[in-house]
Amino acid sequence: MSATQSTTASAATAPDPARWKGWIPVIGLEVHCQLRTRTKLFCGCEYRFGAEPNTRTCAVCTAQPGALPVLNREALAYAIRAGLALGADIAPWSKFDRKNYFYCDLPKGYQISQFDRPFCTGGGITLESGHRIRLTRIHLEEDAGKAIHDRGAHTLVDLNRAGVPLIESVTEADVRSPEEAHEYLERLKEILLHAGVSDCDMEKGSLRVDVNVSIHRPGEGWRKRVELKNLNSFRNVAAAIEHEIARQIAIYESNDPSQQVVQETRLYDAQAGVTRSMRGKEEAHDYRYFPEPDLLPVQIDAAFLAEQREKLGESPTALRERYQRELGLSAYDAGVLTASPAVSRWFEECAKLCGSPKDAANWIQNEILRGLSNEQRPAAAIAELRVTPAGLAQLIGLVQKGTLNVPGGRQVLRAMLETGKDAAVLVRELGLEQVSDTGALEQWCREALVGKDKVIADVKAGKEKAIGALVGPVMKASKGAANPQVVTEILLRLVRELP
Amino acid sequence: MSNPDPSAERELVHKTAALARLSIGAAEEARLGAQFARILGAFHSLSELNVEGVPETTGGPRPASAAFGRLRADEPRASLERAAALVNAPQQDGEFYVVPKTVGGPS
Repeated sequence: MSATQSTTASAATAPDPARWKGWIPVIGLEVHCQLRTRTKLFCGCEYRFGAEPNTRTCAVCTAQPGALPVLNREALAYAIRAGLALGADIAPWSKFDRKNYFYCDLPKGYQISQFDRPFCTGGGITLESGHRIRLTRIHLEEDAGKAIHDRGAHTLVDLNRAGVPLIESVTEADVRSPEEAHEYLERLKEILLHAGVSDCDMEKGSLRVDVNVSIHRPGEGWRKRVELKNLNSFRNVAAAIEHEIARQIAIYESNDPSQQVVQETRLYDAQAGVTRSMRGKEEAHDYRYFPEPDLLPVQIDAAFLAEQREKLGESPTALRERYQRELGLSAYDAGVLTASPAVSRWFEECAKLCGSPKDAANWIQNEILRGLSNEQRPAAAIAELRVTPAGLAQLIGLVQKGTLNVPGGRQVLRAMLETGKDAAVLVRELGLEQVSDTGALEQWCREALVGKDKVIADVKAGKEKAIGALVGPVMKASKGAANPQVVTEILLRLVRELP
Repeated sequence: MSNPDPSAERELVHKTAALARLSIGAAEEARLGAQFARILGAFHSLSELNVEGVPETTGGPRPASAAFGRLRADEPRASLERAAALVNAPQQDGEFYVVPKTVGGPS
């Protein structure tokens, strides 16, 4: 495939060639994603991140002689669902292969993976610009264990992770900039989260990204390809690509024969913002793939496929469109509320109960999500809040009825988040019930007008907005419980009544 | 049946040793080369079989329905006690398998 064939969007959306001194980057992404099954791919060990080392293993995942793998139906279901969500073609039958390599985290000496008959081929993600990043394939494979190198003179091996199901999705080299890589990964994560197949948590290593970067001059062939690893956030993926493009350009333009871009794997050092060669010299991979003799091929029949389609639910794109079309939300609001399925479920329940999607959207974005923005995992955190969608709906109802003003509502919500108590209870406890009793309000308003001759004169001259300066003091006198609209009306009436 | 080209044998041994992260001396290379040749020769004898009309199990056209594997429900089964899992390891520290320092990742 040539670079010109790989671009499917109009030239208008392509990055500016001047950005990289006329060089064109060619970027492909490989994303490993742990599936959220209870047990491993080929045995019944229950995986849990952070479990005590080597307590989640058995004869199969530690490769004891004679142990045989049996495929986990749920892992297959999730892999197929991921394929469907990404618009891939699902193979009517598929098979596993052995990928042979020697490393201490791989007890069998081979990884059970897929070579020439993956479960899914094709599919892709269309970016905001209209440019489509095509997927080559998605296959199912087992994870390796974990090798720990930084504790003393030896390497320590924990096999808890060995055999955990992964899907590896591989793109064509359609990505044209660090920003496109970042957007693709955001979209991919969102799609996999909504499909319910993975928690996509980079912190826990359940989503891992490798990047291939090369560059070329227009009309010329691609130069040497460099693989980047050790990318632990989407921001680092973009930063590493940016750095790697610049590094390759600098080498090619230096005309210094002692400097060369070699086909190799480089690790990204996020602190220093540079990539470093992982090994001195890259040896050619030779995984000697062959069909896994311990597992028969797998048939994906129509009933299984239909079951997975049914369980897939709405895609984030469909959800966003529906929120705009049916609930009247802006594109921005719809985007924020569909970034994770936990948030969109929370929103939908609250919107239904309070009867106003727009109010629910505002309160969730401004008060709930903002409060969670410091959390490591805001999407997961929403489910653990002490406020339920029904609780927020009740609070919104109180504001809608005028029992509570908006600042008072915020105060109540903060207390709800801390105590888990009902909104109505807290309104009473905090004495925030909005005062619309004109007798009490009128007294505070009269006091606020004392000595404010300039404001009074302005209002009398037709500048009614000037009265706003006096609403604050009344609100303060009422400890925030006054209804600001009623206060404004009383103040204006009192000014008009003045001689 | 031995490989007629000893340099090809040595190359094969050398490459396999590199993939297995083994360091092989010249004497061993020659000895293993001869053994490789005999082993591969035995496999070559399979090509004498007439397999015309025998359906492929994998890789070729769609397998017969009887050739598909069974699936397992996603239900946990007890894992090994850690001590039992580690018992046959040449070296372990009660928590981890302990192996020679191997930084750099798989090939």
